[in-house]
Amino acid sequence: MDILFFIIQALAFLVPILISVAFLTLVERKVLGYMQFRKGPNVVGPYGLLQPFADALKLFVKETLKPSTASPYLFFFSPLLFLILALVLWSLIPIPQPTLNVNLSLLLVLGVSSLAVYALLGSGWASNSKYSLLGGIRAVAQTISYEISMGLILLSILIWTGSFSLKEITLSQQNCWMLLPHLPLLFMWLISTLAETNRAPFDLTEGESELVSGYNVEYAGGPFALFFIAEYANIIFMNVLSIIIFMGGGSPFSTIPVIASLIISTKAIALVFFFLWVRASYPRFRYDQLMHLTWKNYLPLSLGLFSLTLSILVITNSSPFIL
Amino acid sequence: MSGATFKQEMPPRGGYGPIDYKRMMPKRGPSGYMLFAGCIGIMSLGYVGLIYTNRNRRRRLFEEREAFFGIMPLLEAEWDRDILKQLQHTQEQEAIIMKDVPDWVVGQSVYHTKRWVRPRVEDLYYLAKSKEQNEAMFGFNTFV
Amino acid sequence: MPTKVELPTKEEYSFPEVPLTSAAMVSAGHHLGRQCDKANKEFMLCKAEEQDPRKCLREGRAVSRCAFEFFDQLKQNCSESFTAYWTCVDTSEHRLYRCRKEQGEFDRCVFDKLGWVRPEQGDLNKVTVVKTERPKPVLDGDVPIPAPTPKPQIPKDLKAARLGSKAEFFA
Repeated sequence: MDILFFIIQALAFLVPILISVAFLTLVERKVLGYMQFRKGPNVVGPYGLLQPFADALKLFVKETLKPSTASPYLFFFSPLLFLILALVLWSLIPIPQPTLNVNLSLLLVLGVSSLAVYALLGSGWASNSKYSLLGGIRAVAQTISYEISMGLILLSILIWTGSFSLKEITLSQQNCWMLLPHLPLLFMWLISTLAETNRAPFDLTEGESELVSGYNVEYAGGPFALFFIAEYANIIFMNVLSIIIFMGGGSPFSTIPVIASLIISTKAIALVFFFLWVRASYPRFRYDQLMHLTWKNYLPLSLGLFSLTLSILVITNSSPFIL
Repeated sequence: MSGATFKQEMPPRGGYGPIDYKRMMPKRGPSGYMLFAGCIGIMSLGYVGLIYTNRNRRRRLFEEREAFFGIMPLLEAEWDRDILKQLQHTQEQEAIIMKDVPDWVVGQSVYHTKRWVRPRVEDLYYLAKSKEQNEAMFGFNTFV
Repeated sequence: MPTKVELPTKEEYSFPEVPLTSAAMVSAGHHLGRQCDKANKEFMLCKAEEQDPRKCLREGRAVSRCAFEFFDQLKQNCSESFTAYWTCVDTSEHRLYRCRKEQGEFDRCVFDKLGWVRPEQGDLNKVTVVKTERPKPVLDGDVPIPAPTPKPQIPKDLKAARLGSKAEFFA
């Protein structure tokens, strides 16, 4: 009975994430289609609603290929690791109650999301192909660099919230969202999340003109589907995280369970649409431009803004702690 | 053929005008200074809100901490009595277990002092059942 | 030389615990702190001075007895509003500010029937001097505080330095 209950709970946690990922792929194709004056997928099911399920069926039915020179264990283990890390991250999100109530949840989010680097590196290296290795190296360098700027942006938020707990961060924004006083940080954060999830215009890992498809060239069928799901789960997760940190979670009613989760999902949809809009509008960056952006612009700027907020905090004596 | 008048095409008198090769961008949106001022305005508004919230939060934290101060002596008294009770129990158990060993002093302190040393949770519950032990050691840390 | 840990007799430390959940305790915390102020302060002073729970059992029992009396009075007079208040605190993660309405009703009831007033913010937090009959203990290993050195006397016929003050260099 306990095992049954456990399985039901696990499914109740996993299935909504997977379904949202499936429909995100459909929404992406539809939105990009309408932005380029064409219709997206509209054949499978009404308005193409069954398209993601058809895609998933196709991918999982296909034969899983492995290059004969590939490292066998790492090759199949990396996509699994990527997906598991992406799903684990979701348990820390308070909507409005987190599944895992951890005091230092934001720190845990940063740590676990940087672990995903190993999956990228492993898949790129284990494929034993120059394209995938280059794609993996690019992805890793980009992710690591942007994680630093994200951490420094979070520093300014954390001294005002006074807690690493995501729940406490949402509760501290009931009167005033964090994006108002930290407006420049919000823009930097959004661009950093774009780069962190390897989305356009920072999708240099996939650069179709130079590398065929990045670290997942050699993958087909099931493992490729795992990569795909993990990437899109990461995108939605990053959007929900930026909502919780900057836009107050379920802000006006963040203590009422159902309404708060509805508000969070509405805001998340808006941010996902922003991601797609950016993808439809902007050309790809050059790699040196990408690195300059984080190391020479965001790093000094976020440090300077941190000293500004810190001085305002000290001058106005409004630390959240009792000192 | 000589009658045919040929006229060499020449540039107009005074030459061509300057070629307009400059990039022409349509002016859109407010100017940079306006954006800067607007950003600073929104930020200062936000800071006022944030300072207000944080002071309120600090007041609430203060209140909650005071409520804890009210019950703290009671909790401490109960906890002290609990420790002594558990210590007595372990000493009784120890006396039963070690009754065959000569020169065994029941309840000997491991510290070189006559002062009271607060026993660790492990020392209090080392003779209890493992379930009880776990509850005492990690009981407050497990939550779902 | 390790010593035996002496324990007091069983009668001294057998006293029932207050059978309430944390939410009820926290929501009654302010009033409890005000009503049992004397016993609480006495006990905490004893704990701080003796650094030994075995010597403060009498004071500890006084604290518990006072708490029992307090909760008995609450139960007899304001059971309904108190229950409403602490269930609200329990369901809102022990955040007292979310239950202002229930708290107001509880305070009104307590004031009308028992004459208790909720302490002002910062009252329970104040550092207080407690008058007690218990003599100050001399702990094992305490060094008596030496008498302060007498204040140096400045001689009256002080002359100015011959070459001016040396502090001028730093000024």
